[in-house]
Amino acid sequence: MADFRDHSAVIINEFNGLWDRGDVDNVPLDHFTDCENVKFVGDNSFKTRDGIGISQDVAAPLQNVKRIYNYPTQTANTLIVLTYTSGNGSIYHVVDSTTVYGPLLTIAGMTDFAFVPYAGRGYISPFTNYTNGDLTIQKGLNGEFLYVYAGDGTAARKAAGVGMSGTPTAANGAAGHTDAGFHVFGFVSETSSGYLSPPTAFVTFTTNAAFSVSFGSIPTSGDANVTKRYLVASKIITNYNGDPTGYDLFFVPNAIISDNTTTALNNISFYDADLLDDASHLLDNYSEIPAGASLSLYHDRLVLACTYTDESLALVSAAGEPEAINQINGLIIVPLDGNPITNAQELRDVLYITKRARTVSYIDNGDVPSSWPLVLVDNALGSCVHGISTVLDSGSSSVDYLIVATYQGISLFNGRYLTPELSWKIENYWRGLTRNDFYKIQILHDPIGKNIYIILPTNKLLVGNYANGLDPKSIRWSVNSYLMTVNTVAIHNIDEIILGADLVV
Amino acid sequence: MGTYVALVGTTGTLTGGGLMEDGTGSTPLTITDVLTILRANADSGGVGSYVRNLALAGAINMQISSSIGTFALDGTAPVTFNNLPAGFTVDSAAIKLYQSINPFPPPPAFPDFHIFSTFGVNSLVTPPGGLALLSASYPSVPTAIELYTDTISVSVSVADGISQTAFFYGFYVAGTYSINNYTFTLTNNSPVNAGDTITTTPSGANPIDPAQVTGITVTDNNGNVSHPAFTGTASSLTFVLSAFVGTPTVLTFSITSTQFSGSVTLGKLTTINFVNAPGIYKIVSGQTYDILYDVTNPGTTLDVKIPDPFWKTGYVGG
Repeated sequence: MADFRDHSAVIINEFNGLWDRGDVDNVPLDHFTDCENVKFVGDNSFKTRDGIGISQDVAAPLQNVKRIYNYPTQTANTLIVLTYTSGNGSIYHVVDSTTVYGPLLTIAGMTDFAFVPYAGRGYISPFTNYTNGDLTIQKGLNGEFLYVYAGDGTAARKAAGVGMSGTPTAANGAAGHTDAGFHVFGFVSETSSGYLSPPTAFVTFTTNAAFSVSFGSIPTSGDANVTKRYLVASKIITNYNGDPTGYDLFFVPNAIISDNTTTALNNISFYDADLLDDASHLLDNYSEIPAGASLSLYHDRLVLACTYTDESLALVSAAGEPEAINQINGLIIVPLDGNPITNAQELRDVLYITKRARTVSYIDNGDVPSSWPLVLVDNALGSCVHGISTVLDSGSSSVDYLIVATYQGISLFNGRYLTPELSWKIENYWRGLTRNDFYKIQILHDPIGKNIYIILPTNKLLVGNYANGLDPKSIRWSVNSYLMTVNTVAIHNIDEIILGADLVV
Repeated sequence: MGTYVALVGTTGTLTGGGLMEDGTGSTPLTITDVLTILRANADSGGVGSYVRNLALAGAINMQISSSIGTFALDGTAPVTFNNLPAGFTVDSAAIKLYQSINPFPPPPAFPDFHIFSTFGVNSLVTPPGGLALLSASYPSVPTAIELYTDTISVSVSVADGISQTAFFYGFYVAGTYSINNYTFTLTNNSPVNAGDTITTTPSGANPIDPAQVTGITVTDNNGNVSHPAFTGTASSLTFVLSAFVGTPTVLTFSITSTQFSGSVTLGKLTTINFVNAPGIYKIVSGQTYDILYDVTNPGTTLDVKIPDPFWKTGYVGG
């Protein structure tokens, strides 16, 4: 552009997003002091943001949406949705635009929930806000538990479960073989989700070497979700002390009742040497797992953190058994500092657990979780309950870092918080957010679109476009507003961004 | 599209000069008598009982009641004007008036027959003598809607004082119709505020006539109704939103006209008070507006504009 009179042209041909750092007079020309509802195109251009459309095409779409999670099932990529009406939180399974299951679970006071998909099932933990002095904290809902949903539209049920009650009978069966001597026998039930109950329904019997063992009056479980029952037995006991749970119990090979109705199991033969699969650990498992504010997966184990009574406690399940959490050695205690655990996330085989201003790590050493060594990562930076980005449907990172919402800003984390943080350019904006409202923040990473979406406590959507590079200098920030109050974001079907809005009262 | 026959009603008012008598010579006649004759012989080809106006020039002014006049659509049982389907629009109309004239003494002067309406004078000239079918086609005659909203006059004029006798046998209007031949598009984007100028663009096979628009109705989601003044042309109508009552969130606009029956919805717009649209949404790449759930009318949606995008640069200068 040619000069006009003695005025030199100032050319602005780059638009690199919002800048809110330091004095407004120092905002670079290629940045905005303020902007809203714009979207960045290519390297240097921008335009009006994309519009939104309805996601449900039904006569009565879900309203008062509080939280949405991506839920991959065996056959489709779906959504799990929490609505909150008249003091009750209700969870629905949105299969597609025209199919909704639910409510799967309705709990009074459930204003938020943690969710993790596993083997096609969904594990649900209700939580809500509590006050601790001036702080608003999130903990598992008082008196509530972890629930499991089968993904088929049936109601969610409490995870884990109790053993059967009753006393079976034992007698010599047909000709067979055992190691003759005094044994303790019991039964373990298995639910449709693979949970094994503690051994119960004990009976003692002295076996005969030439005969098998037959059992009668085997109790059935009062839980309609039980699909199998297993016989467990001790090895020969020389001096029985009267406590059947004081002995190691093992699954007896081929001693399975594949239903919840049969009351007899006949002609079981085994040697003590065949008893290899230990069932004793089941005795110490939670029969009902308390609700927590955080759910995640680490090394094929379910990690539930921040129960109502133990804010610094994380419960870790057995590998491959998300409902089997040992009450003794399945516990991780994060150093107590008066703040609750907010989040947990795996990165490069390490489990990172955050509080609002602290981050620690644990490494699976192959032994029980309570033996895992603690490493203090950062004593100043942590995250909020939805402040660690999830990607696609994996619930974890897609690249070699996490994107974390800390009090300092939006940071890249690769084992330590990288500085400067990604939100360096909008430092004033981020630090102007109310800390007590950080539980409203939800962060989502879209690696296909090269965008980071952050639901803000102001019910707006902060968008960081990193098409020019994922670093504090190249990222371009903008803010999106809508006519409704957006409070949750999710991604499914690879790159479809889903927003949830609730009713303004 | 279909066909209709509109018969004169059974009540109205009769004013004007001349001596009216029926075929038997019984005088005077009431409007009911006249309408009965005209109705009974609606398409008689000029035969049947008649009424006649003797001697002097005068106009038989028949204002037909809109609640009584009947339309028979596609040969079905007649319905009153008020019970026509919403959006009924006359596409064509031929007014048929069976009459004859018997001058005495013979011409040289012949009377003119006129069908008058306040929409303008339409002169129809009949050949001398015998039965004649006066017909004229829409739009040069009043529309069927107008027949029932205004006065139709049938007159006989006589020149040079020569007495004439005019015989009237039958009267009706027939033609084709369609339903809601007009569509309207609101050019404004949501949200709107009191004082905003709203523009709607009509389109249809028959051009909208702003002069026949009888009103614009604005109804909010709380049931409050207003009727703003409007101006317009055949291609656009504009009006200004009056002050809101309370804090409405959705406004529904409709229009009434004598070109069609009932009212036609122009569309909906949200107001600046609209903040509640709970539900699940998705970002649609390339879409230039937002589609929200309309909580005031479950099962429907609202198209709203994206809240004003803006950007501010840093300080330019120094």
